[in-house]
Amino acid sequence: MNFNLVYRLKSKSLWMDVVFYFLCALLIAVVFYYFLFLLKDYYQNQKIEEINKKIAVYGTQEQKNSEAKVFDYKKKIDDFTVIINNHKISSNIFTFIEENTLPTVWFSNFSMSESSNDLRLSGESNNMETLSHQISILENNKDYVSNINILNSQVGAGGTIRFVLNASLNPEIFKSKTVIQSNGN
Amino acid sequence: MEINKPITSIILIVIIAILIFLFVLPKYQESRALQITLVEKQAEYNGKSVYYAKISDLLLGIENRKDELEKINSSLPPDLFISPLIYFFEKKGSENGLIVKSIVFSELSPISLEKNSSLNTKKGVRNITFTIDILGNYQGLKNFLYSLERSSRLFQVNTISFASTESLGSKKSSQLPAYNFKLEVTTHSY
Repeated sequence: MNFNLVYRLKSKSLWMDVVFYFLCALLIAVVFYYFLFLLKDYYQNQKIEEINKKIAVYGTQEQKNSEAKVFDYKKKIDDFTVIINNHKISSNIFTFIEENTLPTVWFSNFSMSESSNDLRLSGESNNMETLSHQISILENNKDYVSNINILNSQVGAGGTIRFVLNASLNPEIFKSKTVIQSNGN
Repeated sequence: MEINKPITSIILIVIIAILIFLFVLPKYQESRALQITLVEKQAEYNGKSVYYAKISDLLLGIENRKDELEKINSSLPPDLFISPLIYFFEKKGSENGLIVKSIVFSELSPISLEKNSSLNTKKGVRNITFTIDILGNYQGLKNFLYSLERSSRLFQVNTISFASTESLGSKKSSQLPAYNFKLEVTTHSY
């Protein structure tokens, strides 16, 4: 009797059983997963619908009006901030001139441009020494006067000196917090 | 009944392959897509709830700071009306002993707000420029300028020029000398 043949037949049948039962288990698992995904989809769809209902609560006309109001104010505040940051106080120039003018100097004509930072003054002093001192005071005030670029003076009636001067101002002079101080005379 | 295991196994493989490719895999992909949608919807809901809660807070803040914001409103009025401005200049001039000889509405231009160029495309801020001729004394002019600076509406004086109406020789008279002032004043509006 050939025992080897019996042994090989038995071994083949065992492997076939393993493969068969494994495939049966796989089929059950595939069907199980199909129903699992089906159930999962159902619950996820339900959740999405719930969230959609919650989202629909937002964006009502009242909320849109509030939103528009907030953005309107935001725009106003932003615009106002830019304007106020660039705002210049022109009256500072008068405080500066008052603080830095000698008692024996008078101004008759005044012209100031905040955009070009130019100051043009015409006036009179009692003598050339006083005018020189006055110019020196303005020139030494480097915080607010960049330079004096035109100076024209001539002796008038009675020995008084008539003059015209052009000064370039430092834009700092127009800043609202600027505290003008005398440079001393 | 004896099952023919090799043949049944082949049939099972075919059935499993059909089930996987025709049913399970599409269902799995659908489930993944729904999961992504769910996460997106949840994020959208969270975002909206936080956004509208913030809007409510801001609105409450606006209500609490109505006085300050009212000042901004008066600084930047929504509409341009020239008559109240002319009345204001006349009133402040006479209060400070000045005679307003003329007011010329000289310019209306959009302001260049660099930072907010995108915001201003809807309704930008405009510059309104006036040229004002005034007669009066120096102290009056200073007070007039202080009135403009203290006003709830923002005024910026661009140019100031004046010349004495009297000769320099009369500067020692007891009365304050009178000057012809010319001011260029800019204010803003939407």
